[in-house]
Amino acid sequence: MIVDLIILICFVILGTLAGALLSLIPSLHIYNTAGIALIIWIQAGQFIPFDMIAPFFLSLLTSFTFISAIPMTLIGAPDESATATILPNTKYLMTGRGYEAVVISGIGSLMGIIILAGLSPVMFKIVPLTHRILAPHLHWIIMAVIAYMLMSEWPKGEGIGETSIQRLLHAWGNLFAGLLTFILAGLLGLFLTSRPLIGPEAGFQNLMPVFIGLFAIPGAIQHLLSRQNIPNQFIPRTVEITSKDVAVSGLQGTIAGGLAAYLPAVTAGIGSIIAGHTVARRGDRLFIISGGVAKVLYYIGAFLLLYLITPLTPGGIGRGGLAIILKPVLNPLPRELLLMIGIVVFTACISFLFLLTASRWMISWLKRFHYHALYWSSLALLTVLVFWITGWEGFLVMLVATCIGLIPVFYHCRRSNCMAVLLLPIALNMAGHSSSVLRFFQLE
Amino acid sequence: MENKVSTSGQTDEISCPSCGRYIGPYTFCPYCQTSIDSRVDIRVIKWIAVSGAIAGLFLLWIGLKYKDIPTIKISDVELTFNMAIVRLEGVIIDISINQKKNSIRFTIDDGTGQAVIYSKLSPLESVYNGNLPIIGNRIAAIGNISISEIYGVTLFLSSPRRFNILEKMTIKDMKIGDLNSSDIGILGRFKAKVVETRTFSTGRSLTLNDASGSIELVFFNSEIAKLSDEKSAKLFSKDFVISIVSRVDEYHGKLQLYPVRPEDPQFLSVIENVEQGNYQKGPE
Amino acid sequence: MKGLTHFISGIAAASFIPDVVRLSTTSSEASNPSSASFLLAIAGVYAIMPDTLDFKFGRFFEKADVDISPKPNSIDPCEMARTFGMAIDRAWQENREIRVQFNTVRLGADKWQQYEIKFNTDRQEISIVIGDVVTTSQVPFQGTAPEISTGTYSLKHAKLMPGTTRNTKVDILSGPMYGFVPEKECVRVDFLPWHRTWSHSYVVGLLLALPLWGIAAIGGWAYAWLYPIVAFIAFATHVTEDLTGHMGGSLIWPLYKKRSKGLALFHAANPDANFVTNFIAVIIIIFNLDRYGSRFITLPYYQYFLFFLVGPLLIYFLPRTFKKTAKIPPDLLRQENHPDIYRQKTDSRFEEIQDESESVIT
Repeated sequence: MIVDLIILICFVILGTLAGALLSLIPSLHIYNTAGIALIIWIQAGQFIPFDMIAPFFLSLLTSFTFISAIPMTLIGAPDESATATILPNTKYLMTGRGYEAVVISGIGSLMGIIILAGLSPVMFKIVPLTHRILAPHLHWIIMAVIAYMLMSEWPKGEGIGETSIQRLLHAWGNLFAGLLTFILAGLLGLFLTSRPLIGPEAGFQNLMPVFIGLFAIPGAIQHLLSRQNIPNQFIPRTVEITSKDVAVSGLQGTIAGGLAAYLPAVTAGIGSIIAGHTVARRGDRLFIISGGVAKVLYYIGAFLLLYLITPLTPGGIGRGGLAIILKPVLNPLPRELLLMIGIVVFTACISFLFLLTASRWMISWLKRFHYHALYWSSLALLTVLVFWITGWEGFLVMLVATCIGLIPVFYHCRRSNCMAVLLLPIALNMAGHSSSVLRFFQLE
Repeated sequence: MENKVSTSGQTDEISCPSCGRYIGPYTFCPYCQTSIDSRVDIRVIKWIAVSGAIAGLFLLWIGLKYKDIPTIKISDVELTFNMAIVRLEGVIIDISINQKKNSIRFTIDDGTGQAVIYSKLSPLESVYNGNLPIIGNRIAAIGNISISEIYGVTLFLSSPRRFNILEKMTIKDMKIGDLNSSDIGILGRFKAKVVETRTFSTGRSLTLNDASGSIELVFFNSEIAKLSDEKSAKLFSKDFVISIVSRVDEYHGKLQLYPVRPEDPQFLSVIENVEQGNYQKGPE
Repeated sequence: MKGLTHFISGIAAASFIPDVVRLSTTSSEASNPSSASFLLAIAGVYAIMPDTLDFKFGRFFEKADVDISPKPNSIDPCEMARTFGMAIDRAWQENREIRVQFNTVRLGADKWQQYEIKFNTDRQEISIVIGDVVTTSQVPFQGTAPEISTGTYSLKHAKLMPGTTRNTKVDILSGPMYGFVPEKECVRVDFLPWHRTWSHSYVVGLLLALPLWGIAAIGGWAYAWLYPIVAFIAFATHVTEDLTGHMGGSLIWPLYKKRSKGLALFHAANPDANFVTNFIAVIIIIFNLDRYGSRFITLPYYQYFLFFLVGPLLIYFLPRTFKKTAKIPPDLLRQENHPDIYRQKTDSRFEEIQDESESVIT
């Protein structure tokens, strides 16, 4: 019994450390590496206990939700000649308060853990019932999310011009780009979910080149083109948050994370936009804290839905990337939920402490080395990864996806429009229109 | 790192050289229309992004249109195949319909293994005008592979038109004595007498005997549960003659029969009035 | 109300029609089982449409007679006040509406120059006061206001109508437009004269909904006649919800064009009003989806709404009960007796529009 516990703790710590180190690499998403890690695990199965898979990967994911705040905030400075809006984390960074932003984000994630653990008993009652009611309606709910995302994008141009058309075009520049991104990403998704370009043996990572192309590489290119330097950062002993910030952002983050965890293909970013509009409040601190809460619910909450095995949901509710990655090897049992929550809480505490140390370390590292070096390395790593796993076919897909992903970066529309790559095929498939789509594009 | 924290944030890079207004990322000043030459690099990347995306997507579509979807053997499916789009071929050995969920599951066997093909029922019914494929048909299906620790290999059908009947098979009457290892995986109708029954932890086995020989027929508890009380009472009593559609398989090097849709009277019927003399008695 | 609130409310309103829910269900029981409808998503689209028409289309077609675009490096409040004041005088002299567009002064990706437009109806003056540089979250960089920060212009001909003016801060996104309409002895100030006019009309809603019938019929969609009904209900829900605010809409434009006043219950961007409306709408949607479809909820309707609507809202408002709030004497509630409160209410109308213009959709 004690030996089992020691082994479990060892694997949880191992997962936490692996997650923390991988999360420090900018542009690299944990899902890009989790699939590969699983394959390595299976091949080394005789040396590693099989029932440690879930604890290891869950701690890997938990650690990512915390530590990913470091590259998101500290690594890279925006070039005002290439950006239209600046995110709150970056504002903090540019005023020398990057460390504070990282800590606030970490506090948000800790709040998310508390909310997740606190809500778990309630979720057992409410979520299965809600799921059974909503499951036949997910197609239009996702389509409604798509419609709202498109209709709620605000014209970033101020509408300057002599004539009405000039003013309209000036204001609509980014909206056209948003629509174009959405259409192109949606088509890419429809094509790639209709016929495979990548061989079946790489099926488990068939979306990796798409996501690296749509999000990681354009982000890296944006940072590499920036000629801005990171200002000196201060390490304060206190952070500026109020109890009202905590309460409101807790609510906002819970809505954002809850939506993203439950609705297929809806990310924490999209959930945050909707949640921000639901509670109708705004502010930089609110954004950062609620972002931390949302990340926890989106990544970890979605995975834990697998353990929501009830008479109404006998197979659990599989959501999120990790659930898909682990599904072939995981047989979740409802009694394990408590253990999983325990692992999450344990990992979260270690990760928060590591976050404080790692962000200080990263700040001092960035004094000696330019952040461009990190992005060049990351770019090389991602390209090699795509080529290695998915071959030249995957590389081509990544190139097309990169071109699409660069549109929001340089035309200043929402990058979440790229999520049409999943939202559109899923909504059409759920509604039973995929056959018509295949016929229309002659891909049947 | 720089020490300065600017409030104005203005540099030559982000202001119009002509009117001095902030222009951010624009390549021309929206106020005075001055072209910003220093932005030429970004302008090139912008054009590469848009034209590359459109052209790349078009080429991708052409490539996908003419690319064949690979046909794979079920036994070749590994963990890394999860979510791959593939084509499977095999004989339907079981069909399960759930009207409430509007779903249909075909269990197929391609000789190397078994997989489940999952589809929505109503689109498939509309394509086949109500005449759905039946057990014994050889089919091909294209869809997404899903590997699950609980459900095994499942192929999710994305379109009913991606489900084709390759060969409509009629179930032949077979003799037990004619079976050999090359018949593994095929379906046949057997008419034989139950000469012995045995209970094991997960089901029951019957020893069938016809004029040509004898063989074991294995029922799992899940299948027994689908039978009516009357049918199972007769089935598991010795000396009844049954007509059953079964799949030939192998266990520990010995041929066995596995029932197919035993709850359906067309697949399993208990015949009582047959002369005893036609059947050899099995070992007691 | 904010964009999302209208969006969800529109869906909630449409979900009361049983056939809409049935058509939107992916199950064997649906009337069109092979493919489910996106009718409820269409309801959301039509519910957000009035503000989309205003803020994404209409406002760019409104031509201002006077455009005030301060220069970032040499911002001159005196010159701005003079241009603005002369435009108001011109409205009176030429006896026609003059529209003035104020533009924002962007200094960086997250830096804007704030300035305030002030009206003094007692002295018939208008002023422009240059403030601090602010972030996009409207947080000021203290001490960044210029030394000479105020420009004032005394009106020479026109007389501003009391109760129609308000001081407005211009900083982020786009600036406001004012319309100056000569009426009897005064000039009425119309804030954002293009907003909530033709776009917030039931008649326009009906006209925009009708083409859906044709589209649905051509597409061969089941229950084609239901599409325009759902679209109109959603559009009308938006227009009706906006009446709860301080500014109504031109409800039956083009039959009667004047913009009505709202019930002034709360601001468009009031967080509580928006959150509560969203929450009510979601609870109603789930209730309707269940009763016209799956039927998993076994509770009677009053228990359902008690546990899932009233209970959570009590928890939401519970912290407020411990807060001390200043009580307003009953006589102060009669606004006509108290110009301060009356002005506050007028201010609310303007704030509402500005909030909406920033948040409808951001």
